[in-house]
Amino acid sequence: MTGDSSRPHSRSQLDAWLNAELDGELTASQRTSLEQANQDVSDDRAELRTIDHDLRGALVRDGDRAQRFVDTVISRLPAEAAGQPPNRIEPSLRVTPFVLGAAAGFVIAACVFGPSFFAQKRLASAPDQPTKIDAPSLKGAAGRAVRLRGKVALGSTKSKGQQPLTAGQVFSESSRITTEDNAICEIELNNGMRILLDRSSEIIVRSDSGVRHVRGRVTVSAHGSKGGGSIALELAGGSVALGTAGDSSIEIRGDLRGQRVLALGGQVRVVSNAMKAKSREATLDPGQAISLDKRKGLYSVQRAVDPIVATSWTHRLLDRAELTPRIEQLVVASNRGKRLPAETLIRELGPLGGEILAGLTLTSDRFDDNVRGDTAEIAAELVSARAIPTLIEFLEHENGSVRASGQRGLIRLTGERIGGDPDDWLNSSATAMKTRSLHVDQWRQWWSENHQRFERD
Amino acid sequence: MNDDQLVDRARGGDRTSYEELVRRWGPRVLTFCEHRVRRRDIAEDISQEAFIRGYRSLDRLRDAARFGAWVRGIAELACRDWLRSRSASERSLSSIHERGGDHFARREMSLEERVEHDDELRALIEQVDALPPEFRETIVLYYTEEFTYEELGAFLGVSAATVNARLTRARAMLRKRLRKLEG
Repeated sequence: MTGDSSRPHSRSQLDAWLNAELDGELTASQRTSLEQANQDVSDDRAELRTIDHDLRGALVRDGDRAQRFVDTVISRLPAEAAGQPPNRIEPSLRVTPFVLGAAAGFVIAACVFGPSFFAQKRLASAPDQPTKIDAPSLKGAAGRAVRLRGKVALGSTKSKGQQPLTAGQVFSESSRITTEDNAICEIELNNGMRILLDRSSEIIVRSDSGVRHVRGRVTVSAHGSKGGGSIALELAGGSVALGTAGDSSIEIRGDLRGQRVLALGGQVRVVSNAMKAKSREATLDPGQAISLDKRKGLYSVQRAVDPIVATSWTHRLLDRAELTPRIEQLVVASNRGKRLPAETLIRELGPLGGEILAGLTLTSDRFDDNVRGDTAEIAAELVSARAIPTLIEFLEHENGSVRASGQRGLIRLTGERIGGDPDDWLNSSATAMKTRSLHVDQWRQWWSENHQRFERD
Repeated sequence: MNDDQLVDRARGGDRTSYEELVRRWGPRVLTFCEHRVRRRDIAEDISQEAFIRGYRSLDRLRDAARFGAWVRGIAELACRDWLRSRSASERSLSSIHERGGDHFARREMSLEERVEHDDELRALIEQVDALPPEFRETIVLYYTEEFTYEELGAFLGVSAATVNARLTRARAMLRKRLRKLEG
């Protein structure tokens, strides 16, 4: 056979060579090449099968995690039917002079800026082009669904001819701010801006670190020079927990009789506008709570939680909105007097939820020390190294059993023996306290040196 | 029940049908996102949001049979936005696939064999990790989520032939690299 190829390179060429071999037309070197090619195919197939087998062994789905993910998504599905806009719920706030004033403002704005502001707004731009929204356009959107596309900045830039938002200005009531399709919505609260939300309102902000989810009956205002994010949880059972990130404060106003408000980070100003009572105001520093009498709207301020710890777990919660409903469940259950309802609940919360739960039980006065101890142990047993910083905080708790649980959890999670036997942490004598503070420092030092190893988990 | 039937029922107000779609496609979209953003936490957030947005805008899905690809598209754009918004600190697949391994086979091995087996798996995962993104994504989805060529092509918005070509190329690259490692 004539042919200048040293080896067959295609199926047809291989067939031709095989036929030539059959016919005795191959040269000796071609015969050698053909045999080599046949051998290579056989080796290739064996090698591919090995790689295929290894890949099947190496790339496997984490079934537990997949299940947790599915459960979380299902628990977060909106109550409305698929493809439908959210149901409009009557606002729970009473009509206060504040709201009336704002409404009057809208009417004036309508006269000044023309009726076009009261048409349905659809503020859209290409996904990559930020939508700039000025105050007047949002005023026109009050009470309506506003769809935003792309990055959104709520600004008050005088230089662009936009009307600056002033402190106390309400630009959206009963509204829903959302993004269309895949766009990311960023809302920046500038100095003096205020957003009024009611029960049907919802803002979802995706940040670098996750999703921030604000829902409920609150007035949010940012008074810092740089502004900042905020969270508000309306906890079932008549409590509202509020926290801010950055140099911001939150204001909650309305008929707050029977409510309990807890400041978890930043300042919280509480204004009770019960119709039959005098308007009451109070400013809560982080860690303080206020209870409002059911009938008269009178209140008393108490220190509820450690402000530093409260702020630290609030910030973590800011990044994990999907945990909010489950923490609410836990709080509801604890209100009914059940002692940690909830080994299963903690399991469901997953690693980061366990960390937050540990923070919550450490800081909230809703939980007793038995619950705290249980939480520390369960967090360490079921959860992950994410709980380590919180467990170190447990070591400084005034209750010995909480400290011992923290120590037990740390040993279990880390394998380290700093601080020795957990039962030694039950002792409350002055000498023991002194020794323990050294151990706490050692744990902190150890964590600062080793946290990267654990954070890879 | 097919995807299009489930979508129709969900549109008609049957929430459980959408839940079934989440069960069917949730883990796949999550895997896809993980290999795009290479951060577990961010991938979870993005995937969750994709399904919730999908729920809210289900009436905009034109071809109900392509629900999986549609949600994957929503998630993909969010991944892109996230990647654009920050220089993602990449994680290796070995951290994502820390549970990898044939557990039943492993049980039969001696300690030495297990160590060797684990080393081999680790080396393989590192090499998968080093593949160009489209090949890495294809091979991981193919093995992790047990797609057929046709299904994976529909999910990724490419043809079955492209899936075949990517898998062939990816395996060839892996073979070459692993041979090199073995010296």
